[in-house]
Amino acid sequence: MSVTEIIFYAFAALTIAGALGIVLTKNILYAAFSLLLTFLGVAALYVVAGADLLAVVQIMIYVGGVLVLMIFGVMLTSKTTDKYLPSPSHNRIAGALAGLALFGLFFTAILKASFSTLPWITQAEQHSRTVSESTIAGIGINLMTDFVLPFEIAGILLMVALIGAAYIAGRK
Amino acid sequence: MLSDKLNQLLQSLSGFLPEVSLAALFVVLIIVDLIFYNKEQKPTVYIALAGLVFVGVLTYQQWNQLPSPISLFLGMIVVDKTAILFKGIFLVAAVLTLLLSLHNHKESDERSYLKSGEYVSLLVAITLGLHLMAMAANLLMIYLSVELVSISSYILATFKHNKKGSEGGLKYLLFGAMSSGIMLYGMSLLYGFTGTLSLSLQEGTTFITELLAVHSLPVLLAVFLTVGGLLFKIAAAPFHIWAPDVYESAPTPVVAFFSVAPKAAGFAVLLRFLLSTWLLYPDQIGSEHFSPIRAILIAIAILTLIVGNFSALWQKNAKRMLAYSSIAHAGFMLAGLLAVNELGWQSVLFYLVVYLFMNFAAFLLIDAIYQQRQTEEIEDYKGLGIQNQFLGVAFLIVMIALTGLPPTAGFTAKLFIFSALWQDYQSTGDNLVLLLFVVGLFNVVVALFYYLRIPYYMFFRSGKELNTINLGMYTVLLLVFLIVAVFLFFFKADWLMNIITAASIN
Repeated sequence: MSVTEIIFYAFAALTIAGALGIVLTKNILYAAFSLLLTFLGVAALYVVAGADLLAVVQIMIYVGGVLVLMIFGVMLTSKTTDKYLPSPSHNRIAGALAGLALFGLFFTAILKASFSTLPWITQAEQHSRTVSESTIAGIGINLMTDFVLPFEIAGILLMVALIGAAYIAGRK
Repeated sequence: MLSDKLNQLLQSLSGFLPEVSLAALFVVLIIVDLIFYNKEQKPTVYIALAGLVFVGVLTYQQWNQLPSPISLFLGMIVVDKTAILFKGIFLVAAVLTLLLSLHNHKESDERSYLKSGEYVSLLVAITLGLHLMAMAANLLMIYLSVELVSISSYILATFKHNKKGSEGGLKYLLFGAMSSGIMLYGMSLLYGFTGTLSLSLQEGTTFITELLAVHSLPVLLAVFLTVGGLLFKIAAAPFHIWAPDVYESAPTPVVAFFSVAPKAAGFAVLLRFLLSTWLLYPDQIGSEHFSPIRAILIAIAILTLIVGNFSALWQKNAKRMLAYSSIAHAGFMLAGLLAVNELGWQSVLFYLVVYLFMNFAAFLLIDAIYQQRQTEEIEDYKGLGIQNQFLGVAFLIVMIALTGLPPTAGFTAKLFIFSALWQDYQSTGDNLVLLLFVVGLFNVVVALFYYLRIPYYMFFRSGKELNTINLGMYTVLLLVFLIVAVFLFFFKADWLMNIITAASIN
């Protein structure tokens, strides 16, 4: 087992532990902190995969923005000061069964797909198109050429979301 | 290399004029709304109407000038005549929605949503999203346009300022976000299998050939997850749970729009995603990659037909009943799509156009009664047909059209769907198709009961003597226009069919 693999499995374990924490805890604030572990673990997995920009974006937006907002939301909306906010779970057995069944299905499907032998991936490896340096320049150029339309549409999408948020928050 | 790409991008703009105009209209509406911030009367609606008509003219020019399908923005979107026809449907729906919002709005404070400029600008944004959905030829573009439509829809659904409106909007948001997540997961798997997001469905492109090289189980799973997100948009069972609550709580013009335009766009994307593969690879229909998808979709169409029609039987609220009826109509259109032949998807287009007019007429009638009686309960419609014959007869015609009986275009549309299904059964001998055919026919009979209940109450039951209903010139004219269209497409069905055939040539 190479060092990269050890690092990969360590961070994958961290991600899964965080996800399990979210599902199993009844305290909503603990769940938010477990989410922090998951987000950091995913960011680390991106680094291992060579997606440096994605890792930075993951930390900046999810850890720095979404999660902080979520924790503030929990803190500001909880009126019970001495008790933790409970988030009880229902239909545990049925939920666990459905989850396990779905996991089984996806696990088999992904094994069957055998990604490492897919033609486009083997071709990419032969042409050594796998990442060897920073991806930021390439992503920047692609955003302004091949993906310029989605980039612009995302701008309109955000504008719509902003208008909607202002409208719903501001009505009397 | 780079300058070539930039040149291509610049040239793409000329084929993208309708959408650029829509985006500009969106911005102009926001600014105008800011300028007239404190005024009672705002010109936003009229600016939007003028703008949409202008976009319509541009789209019509595009139709005339298009020799063959063109690919814009380095393959991000494809403009073909089918897409332009869909764009026409969206524009007509948006204009009708604004016209519906305008009727009677001064007399009633319920219509406060027209006073907020957000209503109009969001409607334009949603139209832009729909246009992009009809043209998208790239998984990323499909996802973004679906999200643009969805997020605008969530906001528009809450425009009635009450608890019910917020509840409906929140339900819509939660279900919608979940289904977007599922769709995105499916798309990411598809990218993993093929290494490309581009869907440009010509023979021999990487997307399909790479997909066929992968084991069928994962492909099936990924395609089904992706299609699931679209099935949510067209409100097919079992992805329909949000529809009745949203339809009941949202403003009626918005509901009329929701029941037609996003549904049509969902079908446009499905058409691109599914049918092109089936038409281009007819020998693959029976393969282990494609036949299970088709079987699952046939099962979904059957379920949608049954759930929609039988739930509608028990509804007491007219808008809720129409919500279930729109689910059932989605089932019919899905059935037409699954008849894998030319007539199949042409009949879906025909059905969509007819459905646009009859559904808007139905919602206009419900809204007109609501304006004067403040009720949407079918019970309260008793005796209305005797009091106001025009209203009663109009309701009768629209309900006959929705059921699918002659002499209305609803009949022609259903006839095309059933002939396409029968044709498919004859050529493939697939018993599932026969089952779909029989279930569809049976459901037309079921639909007869709940649609005709409204005219029955209006004419044969006497109700309380309340103030008589005056529709007003504007409403009557709008109604006459919609009903004439419903008749026209029955007697001159070949006009519409010729346009649709022209759209299918390239």
